[in-house]
Amino acid sequence: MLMPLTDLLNRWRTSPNTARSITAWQVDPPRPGQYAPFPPDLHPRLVTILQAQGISRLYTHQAETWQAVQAGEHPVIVTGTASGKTLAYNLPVLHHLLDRPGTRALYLFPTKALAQDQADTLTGLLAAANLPPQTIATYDGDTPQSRRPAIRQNVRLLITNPDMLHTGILPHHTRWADFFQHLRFVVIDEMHVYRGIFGAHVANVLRRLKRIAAFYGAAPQFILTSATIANPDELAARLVELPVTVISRDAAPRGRRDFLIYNPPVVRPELGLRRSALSEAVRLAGELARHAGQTLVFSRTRRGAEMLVSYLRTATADFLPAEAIRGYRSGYLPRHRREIEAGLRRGQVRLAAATSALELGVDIGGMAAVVMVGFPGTLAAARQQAGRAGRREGEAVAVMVASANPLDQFLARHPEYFFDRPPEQALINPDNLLILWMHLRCALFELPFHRGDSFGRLPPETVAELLDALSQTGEAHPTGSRWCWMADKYPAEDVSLRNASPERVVLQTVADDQPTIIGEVDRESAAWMVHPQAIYLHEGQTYRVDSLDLDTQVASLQPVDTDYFTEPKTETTVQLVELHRQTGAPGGKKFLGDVLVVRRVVGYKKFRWFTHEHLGDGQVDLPPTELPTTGYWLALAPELVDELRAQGEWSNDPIDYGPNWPAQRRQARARDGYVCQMCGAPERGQAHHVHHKIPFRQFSSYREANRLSNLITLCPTCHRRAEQAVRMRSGLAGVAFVLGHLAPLFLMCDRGDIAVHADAASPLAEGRPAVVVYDMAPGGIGFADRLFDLHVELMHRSLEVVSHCPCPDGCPACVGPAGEDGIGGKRPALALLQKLARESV
Amino acid sequence: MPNLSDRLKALGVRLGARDLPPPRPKAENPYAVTRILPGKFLPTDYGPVFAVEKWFGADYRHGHQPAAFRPAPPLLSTWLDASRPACTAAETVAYLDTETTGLSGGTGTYAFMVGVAFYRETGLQTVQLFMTSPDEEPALLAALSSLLQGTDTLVTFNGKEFDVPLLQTRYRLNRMESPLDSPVQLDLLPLARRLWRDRLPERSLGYLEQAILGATRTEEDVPGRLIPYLYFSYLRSGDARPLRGVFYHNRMDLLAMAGLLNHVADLLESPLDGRVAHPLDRLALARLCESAGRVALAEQLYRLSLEAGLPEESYQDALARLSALLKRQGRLAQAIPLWEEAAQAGQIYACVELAKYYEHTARDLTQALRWTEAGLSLLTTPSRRARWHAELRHRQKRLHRRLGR
Repeated sequence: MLMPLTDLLNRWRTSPNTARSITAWQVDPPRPGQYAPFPPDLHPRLVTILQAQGISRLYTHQAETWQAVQAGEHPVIVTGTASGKTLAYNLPVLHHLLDRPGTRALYLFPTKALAQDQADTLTGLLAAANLPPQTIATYDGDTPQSRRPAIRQNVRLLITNPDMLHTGILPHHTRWADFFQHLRFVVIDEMHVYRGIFGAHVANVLRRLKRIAAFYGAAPQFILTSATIANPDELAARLVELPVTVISRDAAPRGRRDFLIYNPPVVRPELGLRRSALSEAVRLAGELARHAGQTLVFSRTRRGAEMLVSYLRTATADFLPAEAIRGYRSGYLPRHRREIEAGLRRGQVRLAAATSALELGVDIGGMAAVVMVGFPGTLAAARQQAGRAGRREGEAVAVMVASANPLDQFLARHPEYFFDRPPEQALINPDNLLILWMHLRCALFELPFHRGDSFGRLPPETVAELLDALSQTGEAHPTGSRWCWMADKYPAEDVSLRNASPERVVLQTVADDQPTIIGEVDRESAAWMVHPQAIYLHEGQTYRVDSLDLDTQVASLQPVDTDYFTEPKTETTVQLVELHRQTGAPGGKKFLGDVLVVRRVVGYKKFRWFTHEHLGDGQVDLPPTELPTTGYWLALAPELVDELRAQGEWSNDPIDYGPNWPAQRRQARARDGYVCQMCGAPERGQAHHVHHKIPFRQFSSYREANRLSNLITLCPTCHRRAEQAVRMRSGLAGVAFVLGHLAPLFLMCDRGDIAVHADAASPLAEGRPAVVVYDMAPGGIGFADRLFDLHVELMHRSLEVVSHCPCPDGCPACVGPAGEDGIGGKRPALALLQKLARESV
Repeated sequence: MPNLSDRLKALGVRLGARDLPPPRPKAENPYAVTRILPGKFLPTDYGPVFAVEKWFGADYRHGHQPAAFRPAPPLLSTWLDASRPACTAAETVAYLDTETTGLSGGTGTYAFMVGVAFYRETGLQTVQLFMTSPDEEPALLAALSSLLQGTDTLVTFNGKEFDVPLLQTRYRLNRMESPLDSPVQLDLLPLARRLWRDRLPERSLGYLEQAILGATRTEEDVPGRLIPYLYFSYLRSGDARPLRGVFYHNRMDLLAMAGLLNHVADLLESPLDGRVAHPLDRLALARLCESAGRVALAEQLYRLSLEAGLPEESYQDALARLSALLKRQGRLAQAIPLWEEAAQAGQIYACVELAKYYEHTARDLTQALRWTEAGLSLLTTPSRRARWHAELRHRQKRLHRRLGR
């Protein structure tokens, strides 16, 4: 039965089991709304409509937006989830549409789903305002060709997304001449999404938009909205390249909201292992759904969301029917998503497991509770997800369940960081050379450039330099006074704003003898998500992948009932393309340059559901993917390696090899003829060593580890060399692990924006050990450059994290769990970091 | 810091002269367009533009078809569904064909050559406007506007989809008034599709020119897909020699259009006479007449084509269309033998029509059930089942009920 949320929270607060794991508990007290009367000049028809909806006044932030727009400014509305941002921009736009029949407005939403959502609301508003239905239209990839000419002719409020603007509208601007000529407003909703690579693309699309508007004599006013980020003014100003007015005083009323950080209890102190965040989240979410009401669980990954659906269904089987628990993530078909959203709004869906796909303003109403499985990567995202919990009246709760990764553990120990620190800055670099280059081609296709023209804030000299380079390719033709596009190409077609390849792989299965498409994945992810034999989850159903055809872009799946799931094994190499900078650093040398990252999925591991017991491995044969990007790397000096070796820092504590070890050891020596298999030396009075080819700790059972096929006889000298190589690898891997988790905090980027790779014999460092951090954006977006400069600080913080971690031999919260990356990575990693964090070179 | 080109190259951008000719020589150019092609510069308010004019006498034939003016038959205007008749007076007709820097459309595609042809007292005159630099585009457009003054019918091949919108874009980009909005558009491509969809493997102008008009081109002609590259190459090198072929190609396209229009006019003017050689053309004409609302003529043509011996698929198509036409006119008695013939040939729709006729008009339920079951027995493929199964089952059940079975 439902009990007030307060009662459940009180029980958690007093239950010793739960209370001990709650490391922070913050209460946002209820807040009354602050209101302002309707502006006196607001169009009377809008006043009537609002009053009919029971709205008799505005929140003050809505009134401030109105004033900013009327003063000709470019407002950025940065208020919380469900604070009426949409009305804030709709009001001035609708007012002008009613007031001046010529006015045109462009609404940009980051996704088609969001656009659809808003189109429905707006259509109702416009109808109520007696504007003809053709006034508003959505124009995106789903708009039928037959409807497009009529839309171009009639539309006054155009709803689209940056991708469509980029490929479908700007390159055909003459068909929209009338629209651009009268373009008065550009609304950019959810602006914070336009950061990183996507943001750099969108900033350039907006440069092109402004250039075309100017051609038709228009200079539209921009209205932007954003979730809470540290630098909305900066991001907005870089996106639209105009001075902006930030409106951030959220005046909407709010019920009380509790925010908890929950750190799962340690279950195996010797391994530093905590109970899994996933299972703890399932337990908490189950209780919340049972007692408090509608609950939303956020997972960081698509796979996590699927696992949650299946675990949650099991956990709540006694009081919820399976269909009351749904998943929500990218890859579901649009109609499927609409149905789940409606279920959430109407309350039929009691529990949903979602990825950040649900973070964006999709309207699902306020939830009673939100549970985050792990820190979503940025404070801004965490606040936005938490913002889903909350209703105008009544209490709500958000719980972040810390996962084992170092950043989560850091935040669980330092909640002040979580609550008090300003959220991340959203960084974009519209002048990323590759991105700029692509959009300059598109811009030239759209209109010739005259000598002396700038492009956004790029000065004419730079534009001229790029256009001259473009003339070398033959795509631009200089005529003396200007440059014209001269190629049989449509450049926008080659440029995907999302950067992930525009290609998708469809997931096909057979149901009732009919091929059915259950979803899709982008081509880049296909190799590791749906490689042959992979177990793929879709709304709680498990499928096994029979085949993956990357040419036809079809993965064939079969519904199966398995007791295991799979994890891909990948192999990465990072090759040097061109070195840009190098400087001595403590313990070695740091480098910055262009690199080529080649990744290949080579196989997969099988794990048992729930227990995560390793059941075996499989092989996969797939072509590699290549990423040209920029990287920053640290190469260890040979002296450092020698020094560490001399100090014995690469040595390791003895391990208990299990009861069958003496027997297995004897058999291995006998099999190998008592001869070192490396140098051929026979035993002389003293038994040779027996070495585990795959380190002992990588196995969950000693029997598996001590199989004869995993053993090899080595003389003490060769054995030491082999062990050192393993330890070197594990030490480096440990450093890489902690770097990969901490660097995003310094870069204020998403974790997926960068990647880390450790190599004991790196081609980047003439075969010496190196750790490389690279941008995931082709061509790089500046992250590696920042890290190159931040190197010493980064080493200090990494050392701090590892040395303060209480675990004995490495855990997921510092250098990675023992046994996963070689033998006990903590000692060697710590020794390494101590050298690398020295003050002087 | 590496320079811009190096940085771009490192990112995988391919720079540098790949098969690009060396830039245009600054000094005297022996291969300038004025030396290679017999043209002159026409003055406009936007500066001069290069133009090549040619005359083709009144006796000129393209293949076996005269290119001289003949008024278009009324059926053509009916089919065009234009606001006013097309091709009424010779002096108001213009042919237009562009050569462009690409096929993708959008604002970055230029029409570097626009060829137009007009009927003059002494025959056909072609005028080909050409820009030696993209800077001459306003002059080219202005010259085109003045040439098209007085044009009331604009004849093109795929112009509705391609040439005309492209030129309208160019006018808009240069902030100039387009002369293309007012004339009636006579696009020969949709007409060609209508007429030869079933008979010919392609409907490109070059193919029709050979297959229908029996015209061939000299080796001076260049393949259409190479044309953008020949122009790009000219822009860089200034060497106009390869452009001769482009001018020839464009001119031949204009003449082919004129010949093709006359051929189509022949067909439409007297569709019933012996000049329509091919039965498939007669069937195509029947369909065209029907869609233009000339039902009586269409019926005659359907019957003629059925008698003339059509391939099986087309024969069934003609049967289906003729029977549907008769049904719409309420002439069921005349439709029945056609349906029976089609049903014999395994056409499900015919079984359904017969079942409907016997159930509702003749009120012979046994016959109706017989034809329903005949239809059901033909559902041998999934697509047929998907289309017909529910309908036939429903009818079968109802008939069983009414027959008291």
